[in-house]
Amino acid sequence: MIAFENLDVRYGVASPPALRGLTLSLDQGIVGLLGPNGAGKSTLLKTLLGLLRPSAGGGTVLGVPLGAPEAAKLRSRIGYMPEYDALIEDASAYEQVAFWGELSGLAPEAARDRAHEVLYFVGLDESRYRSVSGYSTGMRQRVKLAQALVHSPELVFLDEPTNGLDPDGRRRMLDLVLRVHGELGTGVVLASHLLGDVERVADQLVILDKGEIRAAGSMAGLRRALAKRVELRFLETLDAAQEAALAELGSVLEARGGLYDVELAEAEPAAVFRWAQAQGATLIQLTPRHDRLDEVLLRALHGAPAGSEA
Amino acid sequence: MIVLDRASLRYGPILGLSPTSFELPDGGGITGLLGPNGAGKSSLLQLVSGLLPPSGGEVRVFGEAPFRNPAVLARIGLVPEGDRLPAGLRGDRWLSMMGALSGLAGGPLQEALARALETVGMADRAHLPFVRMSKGMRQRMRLAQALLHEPRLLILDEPFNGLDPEARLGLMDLLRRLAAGGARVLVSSHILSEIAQLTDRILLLFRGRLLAEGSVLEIRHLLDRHPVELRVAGDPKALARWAVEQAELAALRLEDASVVLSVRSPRDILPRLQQAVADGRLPVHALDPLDLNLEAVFQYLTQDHL
Amino acid sequence: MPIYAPTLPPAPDLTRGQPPALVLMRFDLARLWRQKIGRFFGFAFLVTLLVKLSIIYVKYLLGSNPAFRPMQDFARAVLAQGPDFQAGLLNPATTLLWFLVALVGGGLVARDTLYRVRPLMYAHPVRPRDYLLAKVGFASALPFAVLLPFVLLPWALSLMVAGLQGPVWPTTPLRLLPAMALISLLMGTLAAGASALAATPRAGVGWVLGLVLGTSTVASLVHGLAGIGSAEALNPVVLVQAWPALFAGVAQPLLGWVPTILGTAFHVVLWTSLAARRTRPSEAVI
Repeated sequence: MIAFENLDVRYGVASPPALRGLTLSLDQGIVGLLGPNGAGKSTLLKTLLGLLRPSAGGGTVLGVPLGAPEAAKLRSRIGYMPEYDALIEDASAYEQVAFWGELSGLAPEAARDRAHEVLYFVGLDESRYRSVSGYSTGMRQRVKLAQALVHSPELVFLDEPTNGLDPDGRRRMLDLVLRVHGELGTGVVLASHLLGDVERVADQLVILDKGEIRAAGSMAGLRRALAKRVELRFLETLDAAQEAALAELGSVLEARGGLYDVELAEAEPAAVFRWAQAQGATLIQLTPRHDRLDEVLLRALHGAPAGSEA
Repeated sequence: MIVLDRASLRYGPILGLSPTSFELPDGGGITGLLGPNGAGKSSLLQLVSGLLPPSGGEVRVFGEAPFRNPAVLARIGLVPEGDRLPAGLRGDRWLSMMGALSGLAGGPLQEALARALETVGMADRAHLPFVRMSKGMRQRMRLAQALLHEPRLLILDEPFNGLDPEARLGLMDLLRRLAAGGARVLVSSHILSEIAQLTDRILLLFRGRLLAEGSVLEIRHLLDRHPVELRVAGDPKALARWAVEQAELAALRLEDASVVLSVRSPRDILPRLQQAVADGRLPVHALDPLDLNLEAVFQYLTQDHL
Repeated sequence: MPIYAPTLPPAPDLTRGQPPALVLMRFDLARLWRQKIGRFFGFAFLVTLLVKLSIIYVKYLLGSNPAFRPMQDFARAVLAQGPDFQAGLLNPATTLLWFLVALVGGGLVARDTLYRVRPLMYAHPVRPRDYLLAKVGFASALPFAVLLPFVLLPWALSLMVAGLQGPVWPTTPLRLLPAMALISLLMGTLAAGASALAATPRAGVGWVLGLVLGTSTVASLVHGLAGIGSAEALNPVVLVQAWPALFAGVAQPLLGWVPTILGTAFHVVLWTSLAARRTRPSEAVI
């Protein structure tokens, strides 16, 4: 989907590179893009859209080399859902989605049909003919998503799509993101500040900081399974004696809100059940411990420089 | 520490909070205040922090009504929602102004400033004007302001809004440390994963009403209309054979290397499962309750009340 | 009998679309239609047009009907048929047009700024020059379209009732259409430039009127104080009146050809480059 080789991007000849030495290869899928504010997310997006040319190195997006004359045509093959409220307030959802479709190269008739279909897809039914100025946050986010999908792009860039949504709206938006990839086969780049969102939908991860890639690769590869580490939870809260007895299993690395992170002395899970049985506690959770996304992020930002892993 | 007795809040004809009763006991710890937009989170926090009097009923914090009560307010630290600070002002000057408003002056003020800045990790950057601070830094300054008078109760309204992931994690760490130091922390958020990461004790508001209060696991046990889904990893055939003989089984789904059991009363079936595994009769590598988390609890609770 | 998945149909054809500038202009036209500010202006322009047409008809009656013969000398003095009359066909309409251009044109760019949709446009296959072309084009096409009946209808009426001898010269459209094009371009670029300076559509209206009044005040001051007559070439209102006069061949035009050309070029270049600068993609926060 996206491949970069030592890509540098500058805003001016004299200015320092906003993206430095990006080497990256992403497969068709849902890519979570994490990074502090000012990490270079918007520069990356502008580069993908062909609005900025690489000053060194290069790469391909959807098979088109960056900086090539045909890179400008990429924009009709990419959809973009901005973070901010980029809605035309005095137009209805239907009118503006059709308008964006026409700007991407659809004929007027096709754009109108397509606008209706896409609005159904995102779940906006009767309200589509009303001016968007009266829409709720959830509806506005859906219009923004419909706008990004109207021309059936091969890749969509979603910038904070769950911003301002409540739990229910957030769940539905993330389900939509999964459907965008699952049903439509569209590649997704999802930039978010919420690790929970990225964890829920992404199969690949890119961590960007100060214009450099700190970690990249498949989610499964980055979230290593930690050998012999398990998370334990019990039906009833453990008393002090039981907590102390946990040491028999191995070393307790962290205990938070009834969840114990234990490095087992022996790898056999049945031993944990036997221990619980002996202690009169009932296990309700025994799961192998993987790196949490926040650990991956903090390690990438502060720890030893993680190599790029495709 | 916090008692609400049929306390309600209306703004003219607009409902903020329906009559609500609950009690948060003394002691440290973090409680997450959850709910969709417009559920009444800010109303509840306004009542508890003494910004508004209840329209009906009674609010007591530290045993007294907080509204216009300096004795109570002096023990509450509030970090309101939003990110509005005078852009050109230096952070430490603003902070000392805030300290002066709480009645601190001279040496004690300087000490309080130094301590609060140390706690939030801004001691070396507080001299910057707000305009040059990142959102995360400004949020830390706002928190320092609430900590100046060493409150026993710290109230934060949507403190994570707009922060980048690292700033979020940093702020969560800070809140955990404050709670470990004996302060009670009340945090509102509409993002479930954040609260789940921070604490397992929640207050859940929905449509102006309190729906649940307690730990996620306890609340989940009360929702016995919804069978608990357990993913048990092991030999699926052996597990399925064992499971169908259990009276509590409501449904069973086979996966590649695991089964998902829907069980009505986990308290009864789990000890038997554990016994079987401990005796070596069942091969189980992992046990994962799929809907014992905050997300599921929230969804079940709000759906049941639609 | 297949079952169709309830999902989006396959990708539509992306090669049959219209040029982006045309799409943008059509969207602005649809908005103008929706806003209904056309009603007031439609009425005002219609009244002016009717007055113009009835003057021509009265002239025809005066010239052809023997009963009015005694009044002809008087009429010849009042209703001149020379170049002044030809240039005057556009006259009150252009003044009214400034307000229409301010109200509609002032919002053209500013609305996109307010709604923050310009960055999203540049994320589509829209180049900055497409955007500029659409906005300047729409702001110029509007006055041109409004002025068109003011030339063509009197001309047609005059030809119908009086043939080649009518009060409107047969060659008048040839003289006035270029003037109209230049006037429209001047108005359109000024409106687009002013709108690019504004943060909201309402402020855009203010910017257009402010720039028109401001430049004319400066021009009048220079004219009055320093006595430089050609300083009026900075005044867009005077330029708009000068063009028809020059093309119609008025004996004593307000401004000569050279100052008028220079003044118009100055305004067009200034406001176009300003609008281009303020709508660059680099100004867009993506």
